[in-house]
Amino acid sequence: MIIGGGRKQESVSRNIKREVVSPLLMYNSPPDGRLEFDEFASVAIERFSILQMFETIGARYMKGGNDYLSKLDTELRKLGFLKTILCSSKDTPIDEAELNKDIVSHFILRLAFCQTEELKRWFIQQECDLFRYKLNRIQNDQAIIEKFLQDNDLLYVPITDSEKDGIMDSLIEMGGSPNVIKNTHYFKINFLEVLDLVKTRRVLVKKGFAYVTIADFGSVLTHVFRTRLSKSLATLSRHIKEIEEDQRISDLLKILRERDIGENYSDTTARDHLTAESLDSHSIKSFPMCMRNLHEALKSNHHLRHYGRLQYLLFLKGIGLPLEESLKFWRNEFSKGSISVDKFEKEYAYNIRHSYGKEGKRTSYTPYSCLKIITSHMPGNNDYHGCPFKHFEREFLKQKLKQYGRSQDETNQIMDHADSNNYQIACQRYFEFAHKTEEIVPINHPNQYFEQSMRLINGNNRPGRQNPNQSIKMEHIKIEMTQ
Amino acid sequence: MPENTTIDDNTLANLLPIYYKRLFPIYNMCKWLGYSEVQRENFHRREFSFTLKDDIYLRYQTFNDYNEFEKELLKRCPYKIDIGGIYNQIPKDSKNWTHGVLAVEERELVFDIDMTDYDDVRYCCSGSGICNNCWPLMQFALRIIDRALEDDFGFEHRLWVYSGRRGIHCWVGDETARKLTSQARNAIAEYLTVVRGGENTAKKVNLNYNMHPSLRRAAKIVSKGFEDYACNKQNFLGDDAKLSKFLTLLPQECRDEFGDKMRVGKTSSDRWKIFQNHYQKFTSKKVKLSQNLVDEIMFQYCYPRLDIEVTKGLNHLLKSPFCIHPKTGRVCVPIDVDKLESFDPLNVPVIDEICAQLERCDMINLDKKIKDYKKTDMKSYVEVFEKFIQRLEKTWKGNNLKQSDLKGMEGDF
Repeated sequence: MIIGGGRKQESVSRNIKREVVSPLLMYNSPPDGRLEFDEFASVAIERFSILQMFETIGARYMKGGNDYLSKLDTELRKLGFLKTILCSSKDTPIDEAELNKDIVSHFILRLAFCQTEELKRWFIQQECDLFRYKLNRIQNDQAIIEKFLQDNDLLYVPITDSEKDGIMDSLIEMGGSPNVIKNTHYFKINFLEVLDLVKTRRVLVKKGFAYVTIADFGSVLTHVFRTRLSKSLATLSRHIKEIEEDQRISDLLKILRERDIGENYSDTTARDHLTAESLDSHSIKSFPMCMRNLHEALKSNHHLRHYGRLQYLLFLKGIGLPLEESLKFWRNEFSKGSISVDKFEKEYAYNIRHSYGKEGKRTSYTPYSCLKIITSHMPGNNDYHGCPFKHFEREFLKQKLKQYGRSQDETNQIMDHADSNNYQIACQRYFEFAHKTEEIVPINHPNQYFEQSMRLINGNNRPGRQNPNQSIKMEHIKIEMTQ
Repeated sequence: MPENTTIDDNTLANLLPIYYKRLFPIYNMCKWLGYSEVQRENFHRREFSFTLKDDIYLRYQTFNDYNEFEKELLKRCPYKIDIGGIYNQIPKDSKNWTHGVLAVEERELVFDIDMTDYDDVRYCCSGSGICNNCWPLMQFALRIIDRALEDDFGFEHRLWVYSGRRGIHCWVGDETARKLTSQARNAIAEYLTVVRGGENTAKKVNLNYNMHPSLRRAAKIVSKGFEDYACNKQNFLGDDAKLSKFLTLLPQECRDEFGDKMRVGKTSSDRWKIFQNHYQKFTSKKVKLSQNLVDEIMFQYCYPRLDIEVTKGLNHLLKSPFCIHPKTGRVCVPIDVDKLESFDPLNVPVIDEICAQLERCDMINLDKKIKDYKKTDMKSYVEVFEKFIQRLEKTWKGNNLKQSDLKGMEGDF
């Protein structure tokens, strides 16, 4: 697969040859063609946020259940990525351009997630859930399933009538009527390939073989899908070094991989040096809500309690506020309240220096990621830290959103995500509205929010650090195909 | 309630060296766990753990071969031996792990059924006690699971072992079973699980309208012995408390109706019959009773209750066959499935008895050629174990032949 290289702005759709027509894709081979880096990055990020959503919703609802499916449907519609594949009704045709996007984005994410066992496991899990979701949408459409089997050299021969007679009694016990059974094809498959059917006793198992009908093929296919994907990832991971030689690719992959942990933002040397005075204006324009809230609380109360201090202090350090400026800022605010400069120096300054790695064990502390903020240290009375989308009371959050300039409609959209526990997606929407941007920026770190905001405000409208005018050749994805 | 045997620590400490030296089937154990004559291929990466006196616990013990295993065993004389999986590298060499993270590569598929999990449905004993009145629960469990493993999953090499106190274990040694992933083990365990729900669920069995063939088979096994077990041995409807417990398995609305009818009967057996008759006739606009209610009730009282975590986990340890149970002194003996009905857990060899038998034989100077275990009650149990290994042996002998055939062919060209 070649991505980019052409000078003309052409979209994925016209350039990359499609592999199969059905929405079920095995992703056996990477597509041919050229792709602009822009598109390369954006489809990857879009697919990534879809996978994240599968994870979030899967964690909350029973997979495969009605709530799970309808929730996914709603959210997928909102995101709009691969809409005709994932959201359209059965009658509307699939947009072929989207099939290509599906393939391309899948292959890019393979690159990003093949490196460690943990990433692989995450990726495989979400991709399998996505695959199962597609299966669910086609509703056992026999033609599609058969096509899929054919396209992927999957050969299953139905058992003979005499073999069927041998298990007839058991099939009837399971609720089939003799006539229907006679006219149904049964396939004999190793029980290991349909574990989910075995687990729930939805299938007849004899001597290590499960007897499934085409209606049960979803499980069979998911198993094959999982097996092949995990094999491909294993192969690919041995070649990741070659792929990462391209700086732009490796930057993108890095962004994708750091989904939870985030870049650690503890190294401040490369960042702009901010001044204490600039924080007021930054907090309005470029701070995520959690930090803006802390900033305002500090400004009005002239104090923050322990976890609030930590969360905000480390964030400020991460966005490039030097130690001296930080000391000045905190001293200034605290002294306006009940804390004298003297007391400040004794009780608080040490901690600030400490968190910059200038005291004690001299490790520089890492700013908190969204995950950490969401999951640890539930705020109590008089606390202002935490994630607004998770920890604020519903009404209060609404009020705040309004106060921060979000329209009624925007507020509703954000609230929807917050209500369904997708705090980071809520934050992402907030970001989009606040910056009037269409670009999808998955938020996983307050500092990343800040950086993305600065990037948009300062007019550098590309994610990552690549040269905007240069598209890239990327033949290495071919590696996977030729293995 | 019959007394469960107990043994004191000192006696045990004195007898263990004799037991390990003369009676414990070391050679066969190694042959089994190495799955080959040579042993070295698999055996040296197999985890054992020893529990010594005063609960000193040694995990990750591995032994190069039979000789080293025997030497360590006789030196340590562990109170308890647990068997783990075969690792991808030797766990003790943690410094030179050259093959990535330490992970279990192979592990028998195991099942652990513990009588304590039935405490809410047995009235004779509780906790670690067992007696002939509750032992049928283990017989049901063994039959049901054994049949499923053989007929449904096609596993041929199953070793059932009495744990020495209150439960039974099953070791499945087929190559495919040893190589199952954790997901597959979980699926099998779930397939075999019917009783679900904790203290706050009264009715723990709910079956589909169409019972799965494996459950139908289980229902047959249970119903054959249910009357004798539940009515005669447990007297499960014998008093008001037991009866009202039974009635909680029915929908609230019809409990009184059934209760009144059943109370007319004098014995559990009468009451159970009355229940079944009335259930047949029962019609009501308000409640609909489950189509499979009788089976559901029998299952709640008798269907195997697995410790699913033991089956699922690849790195779970399980007590070795032929271990001495440190509290009862009983040998963890294999159970001959063909003679399950005559297996009496309260009558299995106890370490002091078999050591005494050995001593008596020494005195009358029996033929020296006779192996020691044959002079004791261990004999029939070791034979069950040997039969298990002999059948396994055929599988790797077959493999060896295939391999040497291949080698032979290479030579020809």
